[in-house]
Amino acid sequence: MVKKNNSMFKENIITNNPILVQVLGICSTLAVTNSVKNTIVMCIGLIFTVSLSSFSLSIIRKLIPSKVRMIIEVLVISFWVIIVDLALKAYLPEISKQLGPYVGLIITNCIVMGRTEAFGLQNPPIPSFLDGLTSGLGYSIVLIFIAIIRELLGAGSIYGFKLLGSNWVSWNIMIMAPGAFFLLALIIWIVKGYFLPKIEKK
Amino acid sequence: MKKDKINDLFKNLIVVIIISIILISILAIIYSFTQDRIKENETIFKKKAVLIAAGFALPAKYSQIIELYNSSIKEIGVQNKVEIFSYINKQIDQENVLSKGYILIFSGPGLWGEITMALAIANDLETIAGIEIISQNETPGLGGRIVESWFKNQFKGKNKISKIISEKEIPAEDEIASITGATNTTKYVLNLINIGKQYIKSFNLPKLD
Repeated sequence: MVKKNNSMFKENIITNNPILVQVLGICSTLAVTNSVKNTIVMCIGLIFTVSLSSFSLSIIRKLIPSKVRMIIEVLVISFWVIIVDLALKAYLPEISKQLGPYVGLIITNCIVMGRTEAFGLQNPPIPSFLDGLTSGLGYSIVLIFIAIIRELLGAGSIYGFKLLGSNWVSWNIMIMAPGAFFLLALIIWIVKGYFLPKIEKK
Repeated sequence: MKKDKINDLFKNLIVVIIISIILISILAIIYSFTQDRIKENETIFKKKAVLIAAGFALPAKYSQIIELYNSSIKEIGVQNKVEIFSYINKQIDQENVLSKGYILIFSGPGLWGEITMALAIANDLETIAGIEIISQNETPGLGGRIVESWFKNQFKGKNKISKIISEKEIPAEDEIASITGATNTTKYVLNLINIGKQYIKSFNLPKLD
């Protein structure tokens, strides 16, 4: 059990990373990563949603007829997303204002649907929860990495703190969606071309 | 065979309906618990925006903010979907023209969507006492930077704005520094301020004593 969980950890974060290898959840990667602060909240929201959706669907997996499983997946996922949205509005209103529509868009994040469909519906609740958690972490690591680079080059700051002096000319392209496209492609290229073959050889 | 299919369909339908009902009732309960807080957050947000627009220095505590609001802001009413308030700022010298005036909350076009703004106009009904952006859908990181305080603060005390200069320069009396890469959003904000000034004129508001 422990060994299985360890390999799941490695798989979801590195060798089968949702963004770098499965290329899922790209829209939010492009949309929210221009500031580290928003990205962190988005990642926490996603980790929460994907692990709890997998967990709750796994509990009722034997009751769900296979023909309507997708409808039920969407229902359960939106249920958790609405809870996240309400919680942010009630307890973190400033961040909720900044994230705006992105929280609701977690529903359409392919990672959530992908993990529940591929793992949650076939496995018991606890492993499903861990699978969601690790997938969410794998997603978060890549997103935060991209956000740090974009915010640093695009605004000269990280998490709102100015790091580069006033002589720094911001790269506006980094703040806009095309900047994320280039950066993400570069990262996928480097990781898949250089690091992953090395890890897989071991 | 056919009967089986109908049974199947019926079973699927029942499962979906039951799960929907369960999830919706849980959500309804959570909603009823949080809605008071959400409403409260929204009114606070608006009250804060009104105070910030009029140039008040906000106290730290929630109750102090409400107290400041109640003692210095008067809600006049709504006209043409524009909310009108008047303010008296005792934090600054009463001789200063910015110490009294009107605040409007209204919406207008931005580059991508509507911008809602609180605009404070001093008692001479000409000078801008300050602005606060309540909601906007501009490009995050570019036009979205209209919410940053350096941008909003430069309008304070300005009367006529005739020129937009680049972000790196220091604006003179009649100039506004635009956001690099978001000149159009800057123009929309200026346009919105002009709309607000026209509202002030059309409402025929009296000067405050």
